[in-house]
Amino acid sequence: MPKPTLRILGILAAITLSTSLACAQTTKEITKSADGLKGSFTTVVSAAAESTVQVKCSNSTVALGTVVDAKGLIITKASELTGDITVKLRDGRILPARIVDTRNDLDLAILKVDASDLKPITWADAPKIDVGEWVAAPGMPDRPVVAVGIVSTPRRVIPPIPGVLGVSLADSDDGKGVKIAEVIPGSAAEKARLKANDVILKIDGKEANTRAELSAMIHKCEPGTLVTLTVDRDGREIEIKATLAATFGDPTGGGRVVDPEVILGGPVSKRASNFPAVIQHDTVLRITECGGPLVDLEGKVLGINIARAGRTESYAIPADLVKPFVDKISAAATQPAAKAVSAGTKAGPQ
Amino acid sequence: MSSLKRYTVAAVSSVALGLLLTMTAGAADTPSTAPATRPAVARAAPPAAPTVVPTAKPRVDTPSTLDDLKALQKQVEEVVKKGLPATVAIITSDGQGSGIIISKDGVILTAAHVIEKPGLTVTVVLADGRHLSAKTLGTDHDADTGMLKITKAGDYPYCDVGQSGPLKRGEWVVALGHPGGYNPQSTTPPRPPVARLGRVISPSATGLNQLDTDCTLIMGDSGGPLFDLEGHVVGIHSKISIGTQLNMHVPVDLFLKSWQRLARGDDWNGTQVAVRGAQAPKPAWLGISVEDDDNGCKVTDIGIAGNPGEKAGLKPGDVITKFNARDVGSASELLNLLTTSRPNREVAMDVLRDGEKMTLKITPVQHP
Repeated sequence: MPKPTLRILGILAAITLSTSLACAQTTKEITKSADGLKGSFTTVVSAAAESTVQVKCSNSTVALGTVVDAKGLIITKASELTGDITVKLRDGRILPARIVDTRNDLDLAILKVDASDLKPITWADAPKIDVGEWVAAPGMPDRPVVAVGIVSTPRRVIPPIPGVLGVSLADSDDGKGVKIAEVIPGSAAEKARLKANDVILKIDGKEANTRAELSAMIHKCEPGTLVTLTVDRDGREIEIKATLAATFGDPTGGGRVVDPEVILGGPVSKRASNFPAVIQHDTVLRITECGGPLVDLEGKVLGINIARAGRTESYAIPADLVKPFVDKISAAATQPAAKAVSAGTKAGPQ
Repeated sequence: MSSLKRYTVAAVSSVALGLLLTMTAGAADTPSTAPATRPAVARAAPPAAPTVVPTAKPRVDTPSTLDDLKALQKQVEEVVKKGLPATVAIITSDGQGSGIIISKDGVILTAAHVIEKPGLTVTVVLADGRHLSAKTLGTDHDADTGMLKITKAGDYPYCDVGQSGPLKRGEWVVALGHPGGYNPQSTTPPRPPVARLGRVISPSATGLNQLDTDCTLIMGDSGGPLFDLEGHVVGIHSKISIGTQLNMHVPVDLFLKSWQRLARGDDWNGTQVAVRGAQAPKPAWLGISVEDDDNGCKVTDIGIAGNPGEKAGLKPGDVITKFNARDVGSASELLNLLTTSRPNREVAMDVLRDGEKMTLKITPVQHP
């Protein structure tokens, strides 16, 4: 397949910058990520910000969350959730949370916290979204506007993309397994400390004896998948766990190898593909800023940010796909309360 | 595995190109080295230079009111509407990039490294999905300017050419292109050209023949158009570097300067690039990912075990405030300091970790 081209370089940029640093305005002040511009969006995001919370797992921040029901329902990015979950509210309260339900296709989870005074988001009614339309993502009070940008494409499907280990392969000497000829610097394989001349015998317990077989088995997994490789290293059988990476666009040929994150301009979400529909935008989101709302200039919530997918793109799940999921869980959560009301008492949900 | 080739980057020649351009400004006057066999299209009347349309009302300010934001949004939407039909994907025998149609009869501007050389037949994909054949015309590998023309006579959507010279720091611009390349198999319908917003960070007046914006680019965008807010082409995507704010475009004025040579199918400065590539110096490298922080430059990832950042004991979340006795105010400032640092020499680095200041010793290595 023809490779997409764009040159990557290191030093020229810095030289260009050094000349510009002498200017009165610093680079920080004139970019689309500048505080000044974000400040202009404070009013735009203010309503949605009231419904934005922070999700932590084992005390590290993993995502933002969006309040979808006053009685403690919060929607967030599902694939970032592990271990003990807590939610930090805007008033500083940190509450334990449990997962009520998950939609794997949308990578969304609804959490429940013990609170009844939260401000839920107001969804936009079937908004018409134009390419070039400005969008913003609210954050927590210490970073009220996390990103500003535009809608980059019409609403589109993001197909699954193959996971990659980042090695070149050779046949093994005895036909058993597949030998690693080279480990690409910066790749998933290097991070997992795989080495050249390691012979991969199995993936997740399944044998792989040809290069094609191994490639197919790896490509079948999505980026972010943790695979266990059974490896023959110098005659000893060891197990190595590797988190598969995404394939990257193919730069111009020329013999140099670059850390993919350098190309991508920062970390990307573990799950950044295989969505039925997304709003693609160019805001430079951090991976821990997914799960929060995306708003237009009217402050209307267009969707829930779901992935930082690469240097040029971030994705949001459109509101019309999120709403049915929220409504279902919200209805289920309020059912006992409805019964209680009909019985003539004023008891809230249990 | 096919992934191997996908990580390979021609960074070295680009680096040297940028560094040495200022020292060999006369190089563009070298005699033509046009190929012996001229393509038929080039032998036909070469495309005439376009009428340049300057930006009537450039915007360099930060919008502050909602009405102002909306006015700017309207301009951006109109640029996208105008630019989208004229933005093309270019598929060559061994590469993929983008381009912009700038005349009714199908003259396309792109980057030289997308089309490689004159006289080739390539495929051009319009935003409406039409696949058309095109012949490559001139390529200047120093400036990274390239031209081609759709073979079939027709009445194509096109954009006017603007001026890159008057562009100012902070001026709002819009980028279109095919990040990741055109891949009709991936979705139905295929993804159209992708829009990105940004501002001019370094105008081309720096003498480096480069225009830097924070319109994020990636492989496949090469050759795509950068527009002013009136939809005129002011640059062509060329290179990127570390950090999302370092996206380099060929100023469109360079196309106009060598229009005759590009139009008649000359191929020049190719060998110089190769020679310079061999002499490329490499910047110092820490192996970490960083981003801007209010107090300096925040470490977002320490990368692979054994790299200088990890060895020095850096941790994600650390904010670097001083490097080698120089203050660090942003991610770009650290990258800038690295280019003037000598690899393999230990330097001190001040770091804020959980609010506490500490000093670490770090030894940058040569960029791998």
